This record gives sequence, C-alpha cells and structure tokens, in this order.
Amino acid sequence: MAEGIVRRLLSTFGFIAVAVVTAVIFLFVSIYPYIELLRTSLSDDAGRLTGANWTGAFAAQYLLLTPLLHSMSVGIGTALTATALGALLAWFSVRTDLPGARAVLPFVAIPHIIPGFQLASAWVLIFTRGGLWDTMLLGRAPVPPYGGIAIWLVLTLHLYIFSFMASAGVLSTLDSSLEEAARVAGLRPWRVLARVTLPLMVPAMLSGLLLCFAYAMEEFGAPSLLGAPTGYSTLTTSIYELATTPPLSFGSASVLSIVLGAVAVLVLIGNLRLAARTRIAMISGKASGRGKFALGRWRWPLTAVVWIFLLATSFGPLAALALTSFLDTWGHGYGPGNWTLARHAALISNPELAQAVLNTFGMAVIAAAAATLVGVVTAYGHIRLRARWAAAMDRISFLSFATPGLVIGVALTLAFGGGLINLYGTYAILVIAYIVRFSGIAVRSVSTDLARIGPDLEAAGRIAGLPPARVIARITLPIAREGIVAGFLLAFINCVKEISATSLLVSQGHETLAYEAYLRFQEGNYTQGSAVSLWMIALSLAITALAARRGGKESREILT
Amino acid sequence: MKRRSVLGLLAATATLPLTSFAARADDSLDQLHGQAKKEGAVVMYTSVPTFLLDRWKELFEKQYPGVPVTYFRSGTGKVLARIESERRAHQVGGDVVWMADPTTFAGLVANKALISYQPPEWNKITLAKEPHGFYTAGRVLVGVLLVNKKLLPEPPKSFADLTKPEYKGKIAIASPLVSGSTNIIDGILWKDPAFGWNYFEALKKNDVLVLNDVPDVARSVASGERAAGISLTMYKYQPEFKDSPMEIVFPTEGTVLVPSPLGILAGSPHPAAAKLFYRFLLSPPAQAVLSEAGIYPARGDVLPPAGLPALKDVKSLLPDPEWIIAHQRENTARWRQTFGG
Repeated sequence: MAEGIVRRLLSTFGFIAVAVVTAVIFLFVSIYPYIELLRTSLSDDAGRLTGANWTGAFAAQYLLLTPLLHSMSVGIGTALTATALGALLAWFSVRTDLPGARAVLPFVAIPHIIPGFQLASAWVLIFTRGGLWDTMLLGRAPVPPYGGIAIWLVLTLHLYIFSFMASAGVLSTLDSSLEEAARVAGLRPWRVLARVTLPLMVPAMLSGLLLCFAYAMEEFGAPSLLGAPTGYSTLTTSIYELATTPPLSFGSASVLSIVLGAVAVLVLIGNLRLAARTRIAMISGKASGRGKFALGRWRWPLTAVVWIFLLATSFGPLAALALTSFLDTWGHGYGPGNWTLARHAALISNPELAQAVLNTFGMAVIAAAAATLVGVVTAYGHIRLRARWAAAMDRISFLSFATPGLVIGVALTLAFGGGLINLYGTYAILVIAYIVRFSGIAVRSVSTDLARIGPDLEAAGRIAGLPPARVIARITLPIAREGIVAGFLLAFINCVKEISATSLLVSQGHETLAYEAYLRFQEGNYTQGSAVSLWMIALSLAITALAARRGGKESREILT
Repeated sequence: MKRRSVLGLLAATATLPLTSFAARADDSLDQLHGQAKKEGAVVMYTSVPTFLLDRWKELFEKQYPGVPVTYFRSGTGKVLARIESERRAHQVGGDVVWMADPTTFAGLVANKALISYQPPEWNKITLAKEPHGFYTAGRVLVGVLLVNKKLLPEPPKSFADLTKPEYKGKIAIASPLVSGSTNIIDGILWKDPAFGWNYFEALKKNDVLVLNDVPDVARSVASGERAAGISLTMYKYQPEFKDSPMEIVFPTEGTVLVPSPLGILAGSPHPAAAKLFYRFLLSPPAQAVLSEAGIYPARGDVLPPAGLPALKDVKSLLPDPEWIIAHQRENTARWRQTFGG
C-alpha cells in the first residue's frame, strides 16, 4: 500500500516536485522545534533573554541533578545487565549445542515488542504484595515491585534484544578457524571462550551497551509508573511533570529536555561510528566450519535455565496482563469464578476507547505512509543522486529517531502550541510528531535495500529514455520493495506504541490506544489498562511478524 | 464556610454591573430552551470523568431537544490553558466550565473569566458557593479512608491512626503532584497544625506507599497490596470494587470535602444554552447521577450515595483554596524533598 501511494505521487507530480515538498516540510518540522526549544530554555516568562532557567536547574538539586543521577544509574545499570544477558543468550543460541537454540529469537523479542509501560505494569501486577506471585505461587516476591531496582530490571528485559542481536550477528559470521586454532594449540574449550571468542565479541557488545544505555535513558513509561511510589524521578518523568502539572514550567522543562536529548543523541552517534567500524572488521570473517561448543554435562541444566527464563519473561507479562484484563472484582483472587469479559467489550462499547482504536489506526497509517515517502525520497536522493539535501535529510532523520520522544513532545508544543502556526489540540500535531520521530526507520530500511542493489537497472531505464519519475516508479520502487514495506510496517508499529510524545501533545478526541492504556495504568485502573494493552500487543506482534517475514533479513535487524 | 474570599471580593467589586445584572436571573426554563435552540449547541470545558458527562449529555438532550452537548475534557492544567489562550484571542469557545479542583476557580474569578448567575437552583446548594454568584460547587468529592476488612479486622479510624506502628508498611496514599483531589486533602492536613509536615514525615517513616492517583489507592487496598489508604468514596461504587473486601471509613478528625466548582464563562458563544445547561446540572435528576456513582451531590435535597450518611450528619473538613494556592510552590517543593516525586 505504502509503495502504491508513493508511486502514484511520483507519477502524478514528478520526482523533483515531490522531493522538494517532502524535504522542505520534513526539514522544517524536524529543525524548527529545536530552535524554539533552545529559545525557551533561554527566555523568562515574558520572553526576555535570561540564563535563569539553566542556573536555576543546576541550583535546585531535585530539579535536574537528582533526576539526572537517577537516569544515569538506570542507563548504566540497564546497559551492563542487558549487555551481559544479551551476549550470553546470543552465545548459547548461536554457538552451542543447546536444544532449541534456533527458536530463541521470538522469545527475546516479545519483552521488547511489549511497550515499556505495559511491561512495567505487568511487573507490578506480578510482584506487588497481593499480586500474582503472592496469590498463585510462592509467598514473598523476590524483587521489589516499585522503585529504581524495578525500573532497572524491567528495562533490562525490555532492551537486552539490542545486545542479543549485535552479539548474535558477530557470532554467526565469526571466523571459527580462530577458535579451532586455539583449540588445536591445546586450550581448553572454556579458555578458548574466554581468550578468543569473548574478545572478538567486544565491539558488538559495546555497541549493544551504548544502545541499551541510550534507550534506557529515553524511556518514559516504565519509570513514570514504577518510579513515583518510591520517589525515584528520572529526567523523563521530571520533564513530563514540569510540562503537564500546573504551574507549568516550560523553561525548566526545556533545559532538562536539552540535557536528555544531548546525552541520548551523542551516545547513539557514538554507537553509529562504532557499528561502522565493527562492520569493516567483520567482512574478513567467514562463516565456515560451524564448530558448536559442546556444553557436555551442563547441557540439560543450562537448557532448563535458559528456556525457563525465556518462557517466563515472554509469557509471564502476557499472562499477567491477560489475567488482570479478565478480573471482575479486586480482592477475590484471579480464578475463573472472578472473570468477566467487560473490559474487552469496552474496546467496542466504550465510545472513548472505540474512538482511540480509530485514531490509532488513522494516525499510524498516515504517519507511516508519510515516513515511507520521506524514506524513498531521502534514500533515492542520498544513494542514487548523492545529493547534499538528501544527505542532510538522512542525518536529520537519524537524529530525530535518536531524540527521546518526550523531547520531541516538548519541542513541538513550544513550536506549534500557539503563535504563528497553531496546531495545539489537533490531530495533525500527533501525526507530525510520529513522522518526525519515526521517518528515520523508513529511511534506514529503504536505504539498506537500495544500497544493496547496484544502479545498473535504473541506468538501463534511463538509457531506454524513461523520465526520472518513471525510472523510480517502474524500477527503483520494485527493487526496494522489501525495504519499503518493512519500513512502512515498522514505522506503523512504532506509532501504535508511542506514548512519550503523545502524552504531551494529545488532546480530547485524539487519544490513541497506547495513551488510553497508559492513562489507565497511571490512575490505577489496571483491569481496563490490561485489556487495552493486550489488543495492542496482539496487533504489534502480528505486524512485527509480518514485517520480519516480508522484509527478510535486513528488517529483522531493524526490528530492534 | 468560614474562608474569606479576598480574591472573590476583589473580583466582585471590579464587576459590579454584572453582579447587579445577575440579580434578575429568573428566566424561565422554557424561555431559555427557546433561545438555546436558536444558539444550537452548548459546550462544556471540564476535567470531570467522561462516564458522568455521557450520562448528563444523554439526559439533557432528551429533556431539551435541539441543544446538543459537546465537551472538551482534559486534565486541569490543559483546560485552564485552553480557557486562558482563548480569552487572549477573544475567542471563547466554551460555555460552562466544571473542574474537579476547587483551587482553580479563584484565578478565573480574578481574571473576570466567569459571569455571575444565581438561578433558583442556586439556593438548594449547601456548600462552597462563591458569595457573588460566580461559581458554585456542582458535586462534592469526599476524601475518606479505604480499608481492606479482610486484612485489617481492626481498621484505622482516623488520619492520625495511619502513623501508628501497627500499620507500618500497610498504608497507601496518592501523590498530590498527580492527583488534584489529593492536593486538596493534603492541603487541609498541611495547614492544620495538628498534622502539618510532621504528619507526612511520620507517614514516610511508617513506610507509606505513594501511588500516582486515588483510584490506584483503591486498587492497592482492594487487592491487598496495602491494607488501608487515603482516597475517595466513589471507587467503592465502581464495578471492579463493588464486591471487593474494601470498605469506606469516615476519619474521626472529619472527612475531607472537595467541592468541584461549576461556572459559566464570560463571553461564551451560547449564553442562553450555557444558563440552561448550568441549571440542568444543578437539577435533581442530574445530581442524582452523581449519587449513583458514589459521589456526593452538591444539593442538600438529593439523596447521598446508597449506604452513606448525608454530609450534614458527618464531621467534615473544608479546604481553604486561597491558602492552598498561596502555599502551592512551597508545598510542591517540600513534597519532592520528602518523597522524591
């Protein structure tokens, strides 16, 4: 569908016209809001230039430094555990004779596909006193339901797929002759692992580490639900509070946003550099001689541990949400005698929720289609035409994708929440936020596909006398079809799950399902929140599976 | 009500002509309905939950055909921001405004954003009427203790009980930074020298659980996460709590009344429809919708929620909105220092 829209546009208006309009609009909505953000951070209420917001933020411990410290702790903690966990599981799945190793990926993916705030809610439902762990199983829960440690553990589960993918990528292309050489030289298998395999994995693990750090810092949903009860505020929760709780303080909110955005963007740029270098190192590797590591007598105990972990972390949260969504009355256990379908029926019968279903689909389709257009225009301009403007769009779409959703939300509020272009309280401002946030996905997806295929076919088309728009529509688009479809689906699914920019820009009548679910959890209506979440997760899983199948191997990497 | 409304007085003197005009607010309902039909709509700006709004919309449109109701519903901050920006642009879009938080209307009165209107229904309201007719309570949220009878055969009876060692690790409260009604409940306790911040520090020492919002306190108590908490009466009346082991206890110091103010916006696009809808909201059938939902009506002559005593029969505490407004920044900062938030 996305491909059809793009093709129709190109053949009607021609490439130049479409590219100019797309580029101008995209660059405007992606750059101008940050100018407003910077300006607000340097202005007082009357709009006069001042440094007071900055000095004030650094002076009041609770305003900037404490949340920053918490965000850094969560980021570093999550990065370390997620990296270790991901690398370990990747090694088990790729390089050992662990039974069922090939089937690991979907179970690693599920806790990532479930949005952070829903994973956090499931965490509370399971581990709080009187929760599922208590009522159904084993007495006192082994982990805290709220607070910094809970945020750290939830985000570790949510994000370790990054390290898993990076490590699995290296391990499956690693030249195993190095390991064989070490073994021939007389090293014991475990020492080969420590001396040869592990050092070779370091760059990939470092890349996973940086990704997990940045995404843990950016996360809003999980800390906002788990942090408040113990007073564990992070940069994201503080920004949200400053921008939504009266008396509103956009001056301070923009200072915190700039700090958070700068950290996240710098770390992700660092990762990009690192990944580029790692890829060069990898090309020399040959995926030959699959000498699988024999686990020996540890094989079955380890199998049990790995699979119990995978099943518990993927089905556990889903089961918690499902049981809660059926719960009729609190305090009478989770048994079938206390079940109702009322919360599921509410998705159709409750006008607010039914509207949210429509909004979610509408906004996600429009935004994903627009993101795909940005992707095609940028990828073609960047890779085929080697145009400067397209290189700029490529970079800016990446930076926007790296920018935390909450920061985009604050910036768009300041840029379009009044004044010259007033989109406050509209459907459009949410769609714009999603386009700004997720075009990078489509750009990357289409670019990967285009770069893989040489320009020969298109050259042939031009020589045959086709005008440029025709060449693109008839040759380029079909070639890059997989990338376009995958880009569309992945942008779509990210729009469906988005809550951080949404929570700041949403207005009455324009709520999305994710936002409705978030609101329900925030106010404590876990039963309705769980029902909404389940349907959202079902949609996400279905579309992610579709994208992974349609988009082939590349998109499986973009999954993350 | 004992509070002295300084801001209200200031505003009243500034808008004397309006006040005297309001004195002949005896338009008949039929007359208003006729004019409202010509205006063609009525718009409410509010933070009241949608299940109530939907019910009123249905009743009103049946009783007064030709005047469809639309509402803009959002958090307190967003509704106020909208009113403010529309006033600045001289494009008021709302007719009637109804908020949960009683501290929000002093600013509206001071900015002359409301008209004075005292229809016959006004006299039936028992509390929190702005002395010059700029707004009245439309409903009363009632802050109480919720207790889990299964877990606590001997439940706490007062706010003070919650700091006792026997309830250590068993109490849940909501955050005043998120929950507007909690900001009012806490505002009463902060101001009261018998409680003050010492009380909250004692709660903290007693390992209190601070949840985001008041419905989450109900969930926490009913599910057994905590055994008791400070919340509102209304949750006991919602389906997921109706048959739960959670019960309402009126604290002995007094139950906290949080009147939700209701008023008419100055310069509204449908002035007659605004008055008609305002009077409808204060009429017995509309007020009875509140009782069914476990919320106290503002009218004294409409029955309270089933199974609960009338407000005049319980010891109650009324908030001092001016004090709460004046100390908001200080208390917010203090809360963050104490509980992190």
